[in-house]
Amino acid sequence: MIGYLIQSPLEYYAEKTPGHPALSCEGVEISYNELNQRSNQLAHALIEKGAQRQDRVGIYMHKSLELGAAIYGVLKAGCIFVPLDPFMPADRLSFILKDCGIRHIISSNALSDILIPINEEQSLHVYGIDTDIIINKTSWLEVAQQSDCAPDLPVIDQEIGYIMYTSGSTGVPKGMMHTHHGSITYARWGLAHVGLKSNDRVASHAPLHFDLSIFDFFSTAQAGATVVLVPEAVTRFPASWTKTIESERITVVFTVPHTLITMHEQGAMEQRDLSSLRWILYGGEPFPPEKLRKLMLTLDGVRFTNVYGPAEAPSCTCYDVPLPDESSNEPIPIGIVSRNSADIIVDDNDEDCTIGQEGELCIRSSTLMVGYWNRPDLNERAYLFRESFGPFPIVYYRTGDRVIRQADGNLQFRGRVDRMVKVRGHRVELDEVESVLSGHAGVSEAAAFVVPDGFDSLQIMAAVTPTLESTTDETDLLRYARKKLSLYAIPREIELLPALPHNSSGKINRKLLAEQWINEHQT
Amino acid sequence: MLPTISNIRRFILTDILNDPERDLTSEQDLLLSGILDSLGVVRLISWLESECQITIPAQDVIVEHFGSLNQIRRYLDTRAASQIPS
Repeated sequence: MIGYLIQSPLEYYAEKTPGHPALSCEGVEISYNELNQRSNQLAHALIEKGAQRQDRVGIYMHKSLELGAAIYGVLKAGCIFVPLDPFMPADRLSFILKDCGIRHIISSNALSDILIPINEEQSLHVYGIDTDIIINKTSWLEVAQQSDCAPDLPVIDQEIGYIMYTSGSTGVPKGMMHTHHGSITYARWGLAHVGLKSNDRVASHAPLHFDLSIFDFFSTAQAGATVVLVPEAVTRFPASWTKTIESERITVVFTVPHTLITMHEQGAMEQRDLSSLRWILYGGEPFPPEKLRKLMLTLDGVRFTNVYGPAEAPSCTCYDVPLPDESSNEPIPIGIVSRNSADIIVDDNDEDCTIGQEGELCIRSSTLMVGYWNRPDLNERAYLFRESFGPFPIVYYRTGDRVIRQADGNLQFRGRVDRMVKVRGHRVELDEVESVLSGHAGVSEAAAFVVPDGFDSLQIMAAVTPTLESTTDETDLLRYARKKLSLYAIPREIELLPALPHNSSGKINRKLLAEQWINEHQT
Repeated sequence: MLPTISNIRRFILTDILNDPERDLTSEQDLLLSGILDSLGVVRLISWLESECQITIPAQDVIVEHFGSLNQIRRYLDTRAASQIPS
């Protein structure tokens, strides 16, 4: 029987099917036994250098076989892994390292330059590098000197396995804490829904800090199957992505609609043999039905599932998509609540809505995060409680999504209760963008809004009013924004205006700004 | 006339990235350094097609051909060479 921790399937299959590939990256594979040994060695190295139980350990790497060893090595040391976006600007990285109290970090030579100034401020021990520019380091060669048996630690599944950071509306990112138990529950949902088997080859297309990765790595491990790590550069070129699906014989993909649409429109699919594909799951934002229909016709025989769920409560709802009707523009429903989760829809008074009444979706599930790291203010507002039979209340997570229950029981997504938006499937808090821009010394007032990007998603635009003495311009502001915001949050343009429009209640009229932009750019 | 590496660098930094002062060597990985995202790639291809008066087929838009300034120039040279009548 597979054990109760995130790393348990790795140890189970290392014994049961030791030679079976656990990971593949650019055609190079590593077996379950080898991955188990490498991660045990890293765990010992971490412990030797002082990593304590439930210490937060950063993983700041590009996609590679070593990434797998890093994830499991941290877990086997009884620590919490914190995925760090390798494209994140230095300021944001520094914030997260400080906020989370990270002193140990697994990285690579390619990223070590960025770590130098941070290392001067907050002394880190860096694993996986051998460059001289960092002093406190342990190379993979040194890690390989350690024992390859698992450290004997009494970790229980209630402990936290990882913290994922996401966009925060106040201008700083927030970290979602997930337990081993929560993670395993979600992993097993994926295993069951797709019927993963050991001969499956599941793509790891999403970055590690994106919660789709929990399915990619841990649902796959539950089946003793193979994770195919897709290099970041490949994900930017649809024709390279389809080449990888073909050469790696990928069977299952979980990604955002943008990846699938560009794959279809620019990926030269007709030149590739994609017959290995059997199941595509998508989430993050709505898929335009007409485009989905065309893709489903091209990939005849492949199952499609719309997966909905915030990273705070990853197992939420899903909908196995039948071929959409021709000329249907009905949005694809987000489906019904996933196996082993429960949902309620509540009005502004937290009372249950009636069928057909729009309200906020709240989820009860073992997959729920146990709170935002170090943010009691946010935690107070994140949950809804109902009375139970015992001393502890029943806990629901407030998704912040407005939904309506159709007559057939399926839920329809209606929008947000706040100003969070999705850019090509990635979360961005518009308030965070405004907060950052307003923080610039030369900016008096800032507004961020979204407009269509011409590729079925949204792009962020900003408008600011400079202060009287300011000499800033768009280039300067963009450079500043790049230092503070994650890639998807950076506005495509920043317009400098003498004044921003306000509505009658004194708030910035972002809707008007968006409309004006759209009118000016009508082709 | 094919755009030089310098021309291509200028287009990417000025028109796509809006950061003309940024460093960018000819060998540097355009994707891993965060300079080009998937939308940037689309705009680059559009511009190259118009500058070079060629059509770049979808199956040619891969990492090996557009991962760095050097790779881009090498791809354009190959295309130009294949158009020279024998």
